[in-house]
Amino acid sequence: MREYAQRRARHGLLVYQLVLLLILLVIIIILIVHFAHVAQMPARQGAMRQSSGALASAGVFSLVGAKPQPTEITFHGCPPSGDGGDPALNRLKNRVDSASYIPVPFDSLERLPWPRDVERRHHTAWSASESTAVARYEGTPVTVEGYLAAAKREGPESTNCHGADAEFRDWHIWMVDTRTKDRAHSVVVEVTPRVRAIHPAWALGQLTRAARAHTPVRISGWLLLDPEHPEQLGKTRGTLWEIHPITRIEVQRRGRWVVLDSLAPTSRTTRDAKGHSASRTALD
Amino acid sequence: MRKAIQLRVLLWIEGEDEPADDFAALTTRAVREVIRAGAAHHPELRMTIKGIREDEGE
Repeated sequence: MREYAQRRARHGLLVYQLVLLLILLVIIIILIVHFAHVAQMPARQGAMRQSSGALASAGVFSLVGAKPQPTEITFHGCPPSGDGGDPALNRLKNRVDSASYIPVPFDSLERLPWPRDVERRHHTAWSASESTAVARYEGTPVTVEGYLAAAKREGPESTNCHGADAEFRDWHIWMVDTRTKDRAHSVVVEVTPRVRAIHPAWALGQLTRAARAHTPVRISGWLLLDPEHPEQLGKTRGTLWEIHPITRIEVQRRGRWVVLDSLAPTSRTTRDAKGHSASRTALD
Repeated sequence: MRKAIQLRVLLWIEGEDEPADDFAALTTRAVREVIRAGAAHHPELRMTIKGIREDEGE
């Protein structure tokens, strides 16, 4: 009997030690998993540009339901995919549809993140996770208020089949949130030839004058990530996110928003040294 | 004395082409051929095209 009791006691001690060992093992595994997760965090953040503060701003974009499929047209023989470059990017730039725009604070747009590895790469080379990360925001119809830092006619590009005439060239516009900021903190917003054909009253001169006069503007259009010019970040743009194409332009006059179309250029048309016309409008 | 230089040339090329045809590829080929043909006029210089890339603005 005594021997049996001793054996049971030894057995009980062994079980107790085993349970203790198991608990210790579980604690060690939990600690290893936790520290491995913490160690990976900087690397994950590094893979996304401008992730700081972006999550708070991303909430605005959760208001968007299903994004509309782009409506594309062939423009003077130029297909939506352009004549080279990144055909998928060209198709997005060449959409002509409009939608109900979501008001977005300027800084939310400027702080939106993107995967660093998509820079200077065509859409076909993006991984599935990169495409998903960009698609989270791309194609959102947004409207943003601010000022124009500058506006100019872009050079010939694959998006517009390298059309040489002014009719085929984008207007490249730098938008800022305060009058004093320069292009380093700007969001690039672009007027495309296809949308301009729907708004014949729009004139580049109106926009350059709005920039000079620090007229408040409201720009509406489609959110797009243009990965082609990361070298401009901090120099002539604050983000690779653009409003491209712009589909509605409003300017503030006497405290009210007025669509640019209603400020039709008058007959007082001037020409610059290169022969480009610039009509004077009510903005003057 | 042996000398070398790396030149960046900014060319503006215009021409007629079908809208959807790849104008960048056409002009890049043309520029290569023009440089190769022109290099024959200067046998004292050894020219190497290191790269031709479209300048798509901003």
